[in-house]
Amino acid sequence: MNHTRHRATRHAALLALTGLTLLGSAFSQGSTRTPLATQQEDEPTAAAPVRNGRLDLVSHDVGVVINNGFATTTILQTLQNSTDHALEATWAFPLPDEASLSELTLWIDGQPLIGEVVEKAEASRIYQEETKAGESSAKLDQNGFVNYRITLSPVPAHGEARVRVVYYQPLDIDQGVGRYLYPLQNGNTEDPGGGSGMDTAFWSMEREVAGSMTLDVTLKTAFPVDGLHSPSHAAMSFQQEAPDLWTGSWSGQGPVLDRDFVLLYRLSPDVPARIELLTSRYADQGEGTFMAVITPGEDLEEITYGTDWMFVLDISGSMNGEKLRVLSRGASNAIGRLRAEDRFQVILFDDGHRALSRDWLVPGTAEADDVQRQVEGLQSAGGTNIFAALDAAYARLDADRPSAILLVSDGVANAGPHEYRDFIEMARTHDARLFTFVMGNGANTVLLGDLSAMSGGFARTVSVQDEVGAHLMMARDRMSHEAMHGVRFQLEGATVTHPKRLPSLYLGQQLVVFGRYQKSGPSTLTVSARISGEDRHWTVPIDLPAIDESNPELERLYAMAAIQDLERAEWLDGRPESETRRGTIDLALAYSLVTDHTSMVVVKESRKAAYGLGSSNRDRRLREQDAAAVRSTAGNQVQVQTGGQPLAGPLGGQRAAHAPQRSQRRRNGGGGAVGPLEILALLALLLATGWRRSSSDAA
Amino acid sequence: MAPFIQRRGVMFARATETGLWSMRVLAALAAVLLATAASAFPGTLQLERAGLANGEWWRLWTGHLVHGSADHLVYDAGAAALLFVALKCPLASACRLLWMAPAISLALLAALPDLDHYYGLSGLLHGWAVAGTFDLWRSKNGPGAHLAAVFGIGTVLKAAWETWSGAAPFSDGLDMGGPVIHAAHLVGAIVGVAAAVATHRVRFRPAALVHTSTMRALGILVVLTLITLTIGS
Repeated sequence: MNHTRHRATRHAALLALTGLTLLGSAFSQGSTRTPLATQQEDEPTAAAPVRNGRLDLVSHDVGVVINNGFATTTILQTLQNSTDHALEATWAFPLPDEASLSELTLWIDGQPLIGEVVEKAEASRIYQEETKAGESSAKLDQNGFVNYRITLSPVPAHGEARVRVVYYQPLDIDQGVGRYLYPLQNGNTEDPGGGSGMDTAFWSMEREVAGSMTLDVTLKTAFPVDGLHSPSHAAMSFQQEAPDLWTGSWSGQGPVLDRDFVLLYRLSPDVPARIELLTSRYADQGEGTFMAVITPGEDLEEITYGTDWMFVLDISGSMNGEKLRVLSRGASNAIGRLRAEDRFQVILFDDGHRALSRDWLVPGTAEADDVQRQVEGLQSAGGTNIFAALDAAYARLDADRPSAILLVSDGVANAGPHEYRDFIEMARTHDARLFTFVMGNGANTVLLGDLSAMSGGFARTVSVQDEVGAHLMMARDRMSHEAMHGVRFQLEGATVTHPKRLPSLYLGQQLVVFGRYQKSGPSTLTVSARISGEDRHWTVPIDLPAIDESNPELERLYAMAAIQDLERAEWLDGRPESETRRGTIDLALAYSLVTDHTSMVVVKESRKAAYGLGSSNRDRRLREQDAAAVRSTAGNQVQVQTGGQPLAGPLGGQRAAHAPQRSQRRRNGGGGAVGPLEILALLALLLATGWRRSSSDAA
Repeated sequence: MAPFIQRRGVMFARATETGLWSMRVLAALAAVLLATAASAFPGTLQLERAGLANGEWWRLWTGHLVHGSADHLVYDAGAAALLFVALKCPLASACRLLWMAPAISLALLAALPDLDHYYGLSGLLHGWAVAGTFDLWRSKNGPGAHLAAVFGIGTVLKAAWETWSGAAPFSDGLDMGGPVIHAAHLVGAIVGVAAAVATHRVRFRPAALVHTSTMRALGILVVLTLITLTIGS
């Protein structure tokens, strides 16, 4: 599987090197054109990169609807061909790692046609045959964890092509703040130091929109929102339409495709800890689907001892430019905000690695300040040998102190060991929490997420539009408070849940679990965890509905979570790749998902029968659209449980509000302890009474 | 020296003492291992009000074996080892712990209605120290006996002061996986006084103490079982 991903990555990078991010191929009527880079040698004219003035992006409209636990993103794009020939367009774009891509619609003869999902090879065959036949067609593929790629033909001479892409993604709220990211800038980066690529993102090549770009956001939440803010698009205006409904809009022209869109929304401080349960079940379905978002109210105690922080920073060639500047600034800020009792080291890596100090540094000392200055002036070069850097970091840790490694990188490992098992084995044999921060979508976030989760840390995808220092400091918050480890989720009546391995939960974090259930009616949800070695259990009543037509999107999100578990089973447990592939294809076809092994293809309705294409995705999408329309006017359908012992109290992230609770908890449990004074007193007693007498008495 | 050893000569006496000490070391090691193992299952073994309500009466004993960190265990084990060596008739004295342990647990839960859970040996150590030093004082064996009395009284006063002030300057800084419950020391000391008073008429011989302690422990067990069955029904 991993090999396959790497092959796919390198293939994409090869495409990029030849300047085919946006590929237009001369497409005269009735003739066949070969749009892909691998075929350009046969038809050199097809390889000419398309510049503005030949195939332009006329409009790029993004609609985002955040409805409680998940977001629906709709992208509508119009391409214009200003040449005298029909063109084929191919472009790539990144998506969040947990996104489930559900729709590719191509307007043919003024009619929107929704794509259907088939196996990847079959999709290519259908597309090729359609283009040979001179018919309009489009195809959407996933290129590993790097990006998705749309190919469509033809864009008629002096004409337009219009496509719509829809994807869903689960959202969680961290410390009371929700974050939505629409990636634009950092798509599918490959590390040129590894000898294979450049930024192949469509929007990165084509930063300009000939017409306009719009962003429309709708936020609907069961809980009061304090405010919304876009650090990337500060000019975005927000309105509160209703107590539970916020909207925001932004529009721009020209070079607007070089910035990720980041939206932050903050819930009110008095929002209670809770379990939110979204369900979906239609009358014709044997099983229902649920998504549970759990925000524990358990007050996690502050840990007062210092932590050793190992910053492992990627300075490979692909980090050059804005990413490295943002990394330098963020890491320097993070170092400046360490506590006096903490210590830190910095390791820089590309092909090789080097530490900026011989030993641990205490913040505020002259040597620490010197290293901080070096971090501020980082220079990039070389490939990406993550394994060697992490290995060196683990080797320098002090076993006697709590330690954390902060790995910041933007790419896949392309030098040194880079098999999934190599990394897993390394994480298993060391005792330190690993926090990984991926800049952009170019890295295997599933691998990094698993590595981090295994160590008790977490993985984050960050944008250069984010405040990277703040993300790094979230790791400090994690280390400075107790965590919930060994989390278990049990829903009475659930037949299956994903993910199988639940990560540790930190202060203010949420747990998102997908699953299926059969028996409807009253049920019980139990979450168990270990806090500082103590087992805790929380149980709340839940109602599983027999019919719920409000959230059909959950089915795709559930399927995506199941597919990720399949991949983990292969990587972690050695499950055969063929089983993973088969399982992924089955799930993807059943739920109409674009994956590494399945693609979405659009053909005219009249041509579907020739390829045996049904309309399952179209029907599913219509169902989802109907539900979304109902949701936009109806009240929130999310089932929220806030009562009971486990969910009492405010969000874990509201530490100020928790202070009284902490002092209360000090009386609720603990232990007795003797100290050095008692030991000394006992020694005095022993000397005074004489141990020999006691032994004879015993006899 | 005991007549049994005198009859068999000096060499045998040395051998027997060596054997006794070996047994004590082994017993101490076993106790530490037991406490270490117990500390791995705090959820099942620590003293928990909710667990007791569910009939998990073993927590009355096992809660004292659970420790929150290696430091916590090392200090408690060290104190236990020193007490073991310093006290008169340590094996027999230790048998009292069989019923002192649940008594301290119950008294602690009764004294602190908000207390949900408790772990650690120190409460029991305070009780053992008070009862054991009372034994030493009773033996009237030279100036050490008077010092033992001072130690016993000092232990009670120290525990009372910790509870009153809410601080234990030397043990509060320990990493023990949770806050220090100072009242546990006072409760332990009071139970130690009660143990000393309850056994002061018992002839000070190992067999008598063992018998008395075992019978009382069994009695408590029967009462607790009856209470649990009553609550359960």
